[in-house]
Amino acid sequence: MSEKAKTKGIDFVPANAVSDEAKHKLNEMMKRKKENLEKLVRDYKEGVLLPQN
Amino acid sequence: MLKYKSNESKTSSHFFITTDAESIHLLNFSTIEEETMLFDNDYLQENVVEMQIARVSGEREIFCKSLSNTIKTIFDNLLYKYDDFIVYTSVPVDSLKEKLIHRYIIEDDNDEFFVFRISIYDYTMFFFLNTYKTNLAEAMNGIVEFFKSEYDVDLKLNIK
Repeated sequence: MSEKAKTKGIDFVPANAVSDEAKHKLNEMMKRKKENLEKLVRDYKEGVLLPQN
Repeated sequence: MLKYKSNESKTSSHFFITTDAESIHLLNFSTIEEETMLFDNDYLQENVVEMQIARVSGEREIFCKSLSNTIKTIFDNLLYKYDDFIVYTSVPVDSLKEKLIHRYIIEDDNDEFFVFRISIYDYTMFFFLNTYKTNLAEAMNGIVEFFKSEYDVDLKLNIK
């Protein structure tokens, strides 16, 4: 990452080790995110999601 | 700038972007359901929206700069339009989406644009906000508290 990119905000990292439980939670969160994305595509294809303007 | 249609509100917005190759990409900003992510902080729970993008029709294209620019324009307009509006997204480390987001950050020349970036395990989580329209301190405290309560992780500044 460039120095300029870093100046646009604040970067954080864990100060302590990430536990196996936390890793599992993160993986589950990303899995739900993927499922939500798939639902979004499905809703569009089934006509549930339509633009108004 | 590509053409797009939209349904828009502070809690849920959908943008349907049509590329030159006639494929349609759906850019979505929605309040996060508590089952997906529960912030132990009212300010974040009320004001964080998750950004997602998906190609919903047409063929896969190689990287399309006009699509990238259109997404950034929509994104900036939303951050400018609403008070206390925080956009969240998470991506795998070193993924193409992460590289694209870094590019947005690098190329941005708007002083109001700010990002909290958290690298944890295999993922990078981004919280974007407008510093003039959002309570920066409250957002940061909420994010730090969230990582402690949800993942038992104390965050520290990443200074290289």
